[in-house]
Amino acid sequence: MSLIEEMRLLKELPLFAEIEESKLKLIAFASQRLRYSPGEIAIMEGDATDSIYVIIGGEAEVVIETASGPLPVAAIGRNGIFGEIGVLCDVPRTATIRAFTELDVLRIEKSFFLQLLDDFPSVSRVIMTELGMRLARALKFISQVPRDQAETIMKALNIDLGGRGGRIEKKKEDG
Amino acid sequence: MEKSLYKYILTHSYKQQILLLLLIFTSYPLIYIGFTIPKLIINDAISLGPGTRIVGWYRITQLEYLVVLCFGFLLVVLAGGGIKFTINVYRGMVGERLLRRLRYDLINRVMRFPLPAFNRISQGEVVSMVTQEVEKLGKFMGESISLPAFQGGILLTSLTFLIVENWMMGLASMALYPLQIYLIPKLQVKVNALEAKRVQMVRSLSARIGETMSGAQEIHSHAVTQYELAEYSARLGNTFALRYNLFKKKFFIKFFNNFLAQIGPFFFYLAGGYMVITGKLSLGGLVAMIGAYKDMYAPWKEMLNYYQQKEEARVKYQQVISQFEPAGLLSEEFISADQDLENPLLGKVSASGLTYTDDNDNPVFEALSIQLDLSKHTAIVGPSGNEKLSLTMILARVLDHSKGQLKFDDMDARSFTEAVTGRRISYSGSQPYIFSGTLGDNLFFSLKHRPVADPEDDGQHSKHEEWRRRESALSGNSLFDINAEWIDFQSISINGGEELTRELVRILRIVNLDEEVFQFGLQGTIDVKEHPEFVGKVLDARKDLRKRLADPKNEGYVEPFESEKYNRNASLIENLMFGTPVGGEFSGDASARHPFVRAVLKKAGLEEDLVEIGYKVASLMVELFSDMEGGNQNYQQFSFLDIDELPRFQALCSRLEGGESFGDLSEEERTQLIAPTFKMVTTRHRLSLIDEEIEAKILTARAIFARELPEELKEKIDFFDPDRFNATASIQDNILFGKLAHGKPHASTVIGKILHEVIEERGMFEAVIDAGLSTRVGTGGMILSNPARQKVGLARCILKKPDILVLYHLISRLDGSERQQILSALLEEFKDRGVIFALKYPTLAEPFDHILVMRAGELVEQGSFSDLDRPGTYFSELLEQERTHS
Repeated sequence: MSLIEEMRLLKELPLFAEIEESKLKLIAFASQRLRYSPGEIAIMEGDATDSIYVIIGGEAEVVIETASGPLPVAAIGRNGIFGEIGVLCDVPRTATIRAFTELDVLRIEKSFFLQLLDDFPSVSRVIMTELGMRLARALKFISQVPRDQAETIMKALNIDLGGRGGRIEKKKEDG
Repeated sequence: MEKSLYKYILTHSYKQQILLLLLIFTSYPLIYIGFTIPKLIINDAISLGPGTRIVGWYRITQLEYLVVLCFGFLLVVLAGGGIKFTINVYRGMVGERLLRRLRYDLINRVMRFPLPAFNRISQGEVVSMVTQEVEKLGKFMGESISLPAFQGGILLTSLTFLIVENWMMGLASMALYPLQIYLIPKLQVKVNALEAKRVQMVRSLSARIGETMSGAQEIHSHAVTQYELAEYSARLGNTFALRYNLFKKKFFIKFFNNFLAQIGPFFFYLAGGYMVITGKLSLGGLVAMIGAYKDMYAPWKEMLNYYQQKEEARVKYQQVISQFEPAGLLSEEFISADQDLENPLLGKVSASGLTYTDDNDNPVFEALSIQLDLSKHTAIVGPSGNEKLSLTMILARVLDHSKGQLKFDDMDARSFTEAVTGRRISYSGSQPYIFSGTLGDNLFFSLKHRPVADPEDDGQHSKHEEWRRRESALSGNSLFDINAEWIDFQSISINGGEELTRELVRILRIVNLDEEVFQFGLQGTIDVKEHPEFVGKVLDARKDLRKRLADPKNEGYVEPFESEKYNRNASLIENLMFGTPVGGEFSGDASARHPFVRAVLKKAGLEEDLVEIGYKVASLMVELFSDMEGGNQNYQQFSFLDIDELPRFQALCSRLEGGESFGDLSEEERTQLIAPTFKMVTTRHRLSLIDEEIEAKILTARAIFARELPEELKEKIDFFDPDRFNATASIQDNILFGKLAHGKPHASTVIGKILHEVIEERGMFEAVIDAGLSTRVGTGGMILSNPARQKVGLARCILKKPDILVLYHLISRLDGSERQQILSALLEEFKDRGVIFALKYPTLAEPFDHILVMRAGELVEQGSFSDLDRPGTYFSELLEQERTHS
């Protein structure tokens, strides 16, 4: 596949929809094209973070390690991105991504991606929307599980959120 | 060191100086004759008119007499010149030897500085002193005695001549000397003071420059460049003012001297002229006297110059010497005595009343009493502070305690010379220094105490060796041969090179550095002449690897080089030349410019295609990168072209778009378009510009290139050949014999693993490690990561097989699990030997037998981990602190 075709593919992605063509070409040019066979692991939970991935063909699954072995929890298809949490929060990989079918991705280097976020607000906006949607989905998921489980999850989330909220309030008092 | 310059010169060169003086005395008669012959020529041969002259027993005519005298004059001039030449050469040599000795003495002193002195003395200052400041001293030291003797002699000879001729005139020409002798030193005192100040200024400037370079990061991160520059401006301004002042004074002295000198002829013309007119003096006599005065003036001027130089050198010498006498200078004996103990230190270390006071006379700790069992492992914990570091360094004997007694196996530690402690004890601080040179140099560093075997003798060598030793001895330098074998195998019970590598590998495993060195080795090249057996092994490994890559689960990770196929993971030029360039002839952009390469392109019908592809690449790059204002680095790293050249390409592209054809381009412009295409890798850049037709043409070009390569260029390229070892390519490339696939994820990890297996199975691991050891690490070990530097420091401590290993915070930069792993391997290695380890993290103390807990200069607790890890102890507090912080 050539650069031009890749550029067209990128253009279809909501992430890059508002970016002009020449810049899309640059993104395609600066990224690496990789193909995974089914079952192959693209990123491993806990590994160092160096890039984000955009799926241009095929399907991948998100796998988390549980006491009883790996458990696929979600699927990502064409146009989906993964690996962005590690890059944005500067933490190691938070989940393992495994190729479900033959998987074609574009790998974008961390520094290059962060530069894109700085230069193109529309990219940032799409990423924010994506993260927001994921949170909404998680909340919706919680609302559907039995109450005791939901409470455990909410508790876990609340401690986190509550803790941060507390700190923010305190800052306001100081200011 | 001698306090005064003259004392130094005389102590170390009095014999040579005497010889010089003798040479000079032999020249005086010649000089005297040199004066008398012209007088004879004028008075006797010319003025006295025709007639026979008597020379010895011969009677000769006037003309013959003139010829004889003139040839005599010529002979005297020649002989005088010859002696002068000999004197100059000899004098230069004496000076250079003294300079060599002085520099060596200064560096020797640096070696004897006690460690705390290095915190006070600036590196830049020492460098400028040893390199530049003493440079001028060298010349001066050579002539310090002979020059005044020589010039003084000439002066005396001329005076004698004058006085013999006419004593009144002789005295008159000296009349002004007393005035000069009185006044010039007075002026010179001021010059000396300024000179001393100037030396200090320059010295502090070089220290400051060193500081600026070390602190470049801080300067840029806080935008303090202008402040820094302003400071330099001020410093240079001060230097300027001082130098200006200095040379004004110097020139005034010169002016004064010159003026007085010109008074002389005034007297001669007036008084001498009167005497000739009144017949009291012959005309020849006056002319000769004026000549002698002129000759006398030159040495007198030299003497005055010499006086100024002497003063300058004297000041400089004192300025330098005073900087090399810090308090607590180690004795020469301490560093030079070659001693060792009969038995290893395996008993105990005992300290009583151990006190250490720092440079500012602040007590760091006082009256410590410690008993350590050297068959056990001791940890020192406590907050990071001066006392922990000082105690560790004192126990390692790299720092001397101020008071009290320290004994190793009942021997006073102060009775040990460096040769003893350096063999018996290994010490490393938290940031071991990595020297520029190879990794191997750094690892074997700890085994180079004294040369153990002479270098191999090849006949030619021994003559040079003799010269080297003689000269070293004459300059009081070290007689040890740097080219001798310094690595002391025997001290670590090892017989030869291969065994040493195996031992090193074992130690690299302890410090967890083996994989890194192995990787360096893979990227390195190997000297085929030294390892001929390696070549066959590599070729076997190549075949083996190919087999393994054929396995479906490994497929597609490597695209091998095949002579009839275009390699899409390799660059265009690699495909065309089908080899690696040797030297600069075919590498980089030079290849696009190379007439032979261009001829091949033309012949294969490829040149026009490449110009066109180059144009497409260039216009794409221009499109992608031209509006990146200010040149953002994150984008630029992807460009084919140098970003600074973009505007030029932009202009070129718009001309072509505007209708110019490729034929209109100049040769230089065509080259500029071809150059970037050479770097294109199909799978990596995915520009779809190299289609199968072009590929086929490149294969044709490849064949032409190989076939028609002129004889003299054959050395400039190492062709890919499945059955040949490529000496210029790395070991990895040789085994791979192909390119890693760009689109395959984790290709380098997967292939790395297979490579490792293949190499290990063929017993090539040590050879690769050897290649890794010849990696150059750069200044301060630049190419190594911080943890790797700590590991190198630790490895060289272990390699020496010391009786006692003393470490301070050494593995602090490694992450938690690796730290634990290295620590337990280390303690296992030192099972029966002493370890004293000052730990940054108290939890690491668990495997140690004994723990000393330091707090604010006191030894507050000691005991085993289980003794100390209970509520209420300070140690448990430290553990708690560490756990909550991590």
